[in-house]
Amino acid sequence: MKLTLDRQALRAAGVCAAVVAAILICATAFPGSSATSYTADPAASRLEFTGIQAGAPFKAVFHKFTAAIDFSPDALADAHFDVEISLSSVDSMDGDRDSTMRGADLFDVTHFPTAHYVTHGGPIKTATGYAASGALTLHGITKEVPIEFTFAATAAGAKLMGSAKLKRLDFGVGQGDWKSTEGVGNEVSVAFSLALNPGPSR
Amino acid sequence: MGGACGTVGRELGPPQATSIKIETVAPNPLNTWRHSLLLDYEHAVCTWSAAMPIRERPTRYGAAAQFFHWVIAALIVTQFALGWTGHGLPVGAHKLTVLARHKSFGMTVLMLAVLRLLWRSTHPPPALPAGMSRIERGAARATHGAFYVLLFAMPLTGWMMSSAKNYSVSWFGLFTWPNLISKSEAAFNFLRATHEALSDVLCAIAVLHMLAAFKHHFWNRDNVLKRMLPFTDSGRPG
Repeated sequence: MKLTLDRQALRAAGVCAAVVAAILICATAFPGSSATSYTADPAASRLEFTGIQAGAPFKAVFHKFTAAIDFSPDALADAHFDVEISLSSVDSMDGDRDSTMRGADLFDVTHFPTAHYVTHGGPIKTATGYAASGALTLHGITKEVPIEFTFAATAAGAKLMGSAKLKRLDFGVGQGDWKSTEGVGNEVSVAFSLALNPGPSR
Repeated sequence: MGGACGTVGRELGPPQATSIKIETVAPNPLNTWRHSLLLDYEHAVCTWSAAMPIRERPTRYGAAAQFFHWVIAALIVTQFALGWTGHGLPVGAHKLTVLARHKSFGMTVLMLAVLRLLWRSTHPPPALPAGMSRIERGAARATHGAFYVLLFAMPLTGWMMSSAKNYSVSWFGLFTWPNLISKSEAAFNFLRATHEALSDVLCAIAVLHMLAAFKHHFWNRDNVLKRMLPFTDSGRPG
């Protein structure tokens, strides 16, 4: 009886070992079958937006943001982007404009210090790259914001470049006078260029 | 009008001509070119402009010069109103809107100033009244010269000021002018001070200009004011 049990245990262990080995072999042989994890290198990456002020476009960048990117071209279903942006790091090359944007009527960084973007579902392949759906939480409001991007492997890791369009008033960025779109347009376009280093997501 | 038409080329003459009217033409290198240009277009313009002459008659400004004068004058008044309103507003959406209009009108003035200078350089103004002293003529010339300088200096310092602030200038939202200089807080502060100082000068000269026009009209009773007024007959010599 004891011998039988041991044999069963041994057999079970053997099956388990075979399964684990098979998974390991598969993972090694077909590395693309799951998404690779990357993190953006802040120094080499850029996250900017273009707004319309007094009829003329202006550009601003966010100096502080983190991006955890899980992506592999042959495992699109597993892709997942998670980007967190420090809104007070906004820089439009004008101090007055930056402090106005941080203020209570626009970003209101005191109450909403960060914006958060998370993709959901796998991206789809397009003629020029990929398109993903995701949700942006900004100023306490979460809305769908689709993105388009390209992905290219590099020596260091990968380069992810893309863009999105949103309306600032959808997120309540613009209270009081700023609800008017005469001085500052509603449409905002976002562009990003992320230098990705291989590494685990947070 | 018929008299002026067909004689313009002869009145202006080449630089060495000794026509009686040549004294109204400041000698400048454009004269020869102006002469041929006027002869080229004289027929076309004269056949069309018999009712309200586009070009200057010996005794009054033409419709084009009057258009430039009054449209730019109205824009400058608007610019003072918008500029001072925008200046006094706190940073905010309203200030942006007011200053956006100020910039659009300012760029309009700059474009009109270019056209006006081209027009003026090819179309000398009618002669000043004969009785004016040398000092009066000098003052008139200096005032008008300063106006032309300011017509360019005001919008250009404004445009550069916006550039230095990295606030690009739009023309009524239709297109965006390129930045003239790169972002610089020091340049912005200097240009803002210059723009404001020049606006004071412009205001002073405009007052002088109006007082002079009224003095000519009510005191000298000549046609210096009327010859710039549309819808009046100031055909009689000043």
